[in-house]
Amino acid sequence: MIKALKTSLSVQVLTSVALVLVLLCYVIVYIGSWEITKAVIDQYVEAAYHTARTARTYLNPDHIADYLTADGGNHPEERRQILSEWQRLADRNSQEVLMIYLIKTEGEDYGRIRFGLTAVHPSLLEDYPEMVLYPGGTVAKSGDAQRKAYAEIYQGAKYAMVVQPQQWEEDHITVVIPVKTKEDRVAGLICVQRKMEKLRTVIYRHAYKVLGWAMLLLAVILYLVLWGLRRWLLKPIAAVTKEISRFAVKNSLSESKLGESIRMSNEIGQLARAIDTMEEQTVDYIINLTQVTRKQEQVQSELNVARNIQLSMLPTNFAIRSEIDIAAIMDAAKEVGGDFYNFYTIDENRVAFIIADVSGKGVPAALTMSKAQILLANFIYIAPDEPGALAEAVSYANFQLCRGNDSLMFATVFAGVLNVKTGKFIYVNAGHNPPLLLRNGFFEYMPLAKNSFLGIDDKAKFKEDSLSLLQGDGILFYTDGVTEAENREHEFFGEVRLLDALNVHAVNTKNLSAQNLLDYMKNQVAAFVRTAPQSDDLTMMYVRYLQRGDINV
Amino acid sequence: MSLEITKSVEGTSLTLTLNGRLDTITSQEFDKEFAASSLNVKDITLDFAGLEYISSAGLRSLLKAKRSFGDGPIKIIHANEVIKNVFAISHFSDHIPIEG
Repeated sequence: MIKALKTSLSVQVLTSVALVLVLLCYVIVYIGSWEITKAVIDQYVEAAYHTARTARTYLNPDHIADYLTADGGNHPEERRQILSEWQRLADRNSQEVLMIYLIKTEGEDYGRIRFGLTAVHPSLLEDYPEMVLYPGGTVAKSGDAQRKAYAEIYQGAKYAMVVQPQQWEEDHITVVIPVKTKEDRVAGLICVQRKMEKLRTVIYRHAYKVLGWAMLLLAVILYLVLWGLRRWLLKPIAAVTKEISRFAVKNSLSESKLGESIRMSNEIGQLARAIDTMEEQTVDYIINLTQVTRKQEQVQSELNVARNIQLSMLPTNFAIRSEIDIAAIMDAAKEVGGDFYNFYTIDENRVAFIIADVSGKGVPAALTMSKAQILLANFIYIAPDEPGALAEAVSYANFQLCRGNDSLMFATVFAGVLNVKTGKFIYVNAGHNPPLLLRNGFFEYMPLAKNSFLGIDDKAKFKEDSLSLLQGDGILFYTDGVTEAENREHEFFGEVRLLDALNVHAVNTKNLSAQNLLDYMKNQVAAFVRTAPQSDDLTMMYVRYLQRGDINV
Repeated sequence: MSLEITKSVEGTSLTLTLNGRLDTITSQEFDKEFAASSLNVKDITLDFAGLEYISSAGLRSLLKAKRSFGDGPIKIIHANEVIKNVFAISHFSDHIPIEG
């Protein structure tokens, strides 16, 4: 990954640099060639100009009209003399001067020219046999470049030139100078045309030289760029990448900071320092989080211990008397809950049943629950077997629970004492949900005396109710976690569903165990609630009265 | 499902109208609202017309409210059948009366 990044970055940067350099090279060669072309042409022009001036000295400007004829008009001898001088001039200049000729323009736009004298280097005719030599007096059309040059002369220029690249496969130049009369009138034009055989050689040599140096420079620059790239970009980036990968795995500070190894003030340096800061803060955060998590784990483990303590307060031995079949369950919504159930034998005939629900949930409810459970268990245990004693026991517990109860935690309680021999069941309901009595195959809510809940009013009076249980009767005690079990549609299980569910069970099953009924009810509630989270503690206790002690069945 | 409380004052009478549920979570809102609203009033009416459900934590909040109000006159009106039933089972009316 790092290698790929390095490579692609290098390639991109180097390609860009190389492209720019090649472009620059082209511009240099182009500008250079242009300058050199100008200089070389100037040299040729100067030489040709010199030749033209020499050629002019042989002419008599007043006899131009005669020169422009085939036979020399009135001065044939003079014309022949000039031609031979011009021929010597052309020959002397060897290859370089190819042609010296005299012309006169015709027409306002110099569109035609009349030829006069023409001297040609012999090699020209050898090299270009297709060339036509116009005899004196011949009129020919002139090209655009030529007309422009003639115009310059007529406007007063000392000379003019026509560059003819690739004429007869080679570059040529023609220099034009005026032949003037004494009255300063242009009587004719002398043209000297010559090859510029060195022009291209010079330009190519120049171009090759520039290109050669440019290549060398390119190589050096590319090397330097690559070196700089490695030194200031790739190495630091690789270091940063390595450090981040290390940190991602180890989550610890490295021995040396990135900002120390990458001492740069640019963006990469800033990045390195930012990563240092990020690592420090992340490590701090992790330490912090670890502490918080540890604390939470501690709280959780304490809650687990608390839950165990709370569960250990519930009776575990259900077979306390052969006359009764008891089952009970408690599901706390949180680790610890505010519900509890209790049952225990008071003496040889009597068994106490208590179910309670402390307001709220969690630790505060659980603490109050412990208090309520112990107080109720003790007061009921020591209460004598006489009318009003159970109500008195409950009111003692209430009084104790009211003491110092500034947080107004209260408990609804159902407490009952069953004489298993006689079937007499004395009970006090302190604000709790009415239990259901199974008799003759049907469940019904039990009639209850009105009593307040415990923990608020220390002067509250409690009334007892009583009932004679018959063989086969059953009592279901529960907390509001059952009736207020809530589904996703925010409907409650409710007392009607509870009663109906129990009656369906009673009709369909006979003499099933207490545990069986609780399992059934638990499933009924679970089926109703489905996926909704458990909102409250769910506690149920069921007692079946199997046989009265004074009757043998 | 949460709790909305609207407050109206007439002279020295405060009416708090509760909409939604009064449970473990929302009872904290009620505690705060009650503490803030009950300072300079002489009697309080709690309108339960929009209250669907009250949990034991909600009942405890009502007890705390009554206690903080110096056991001054607090009454509940327009309670629905579910809540009336809760009050009946727990004899909560001994502490705060339900009217109507």
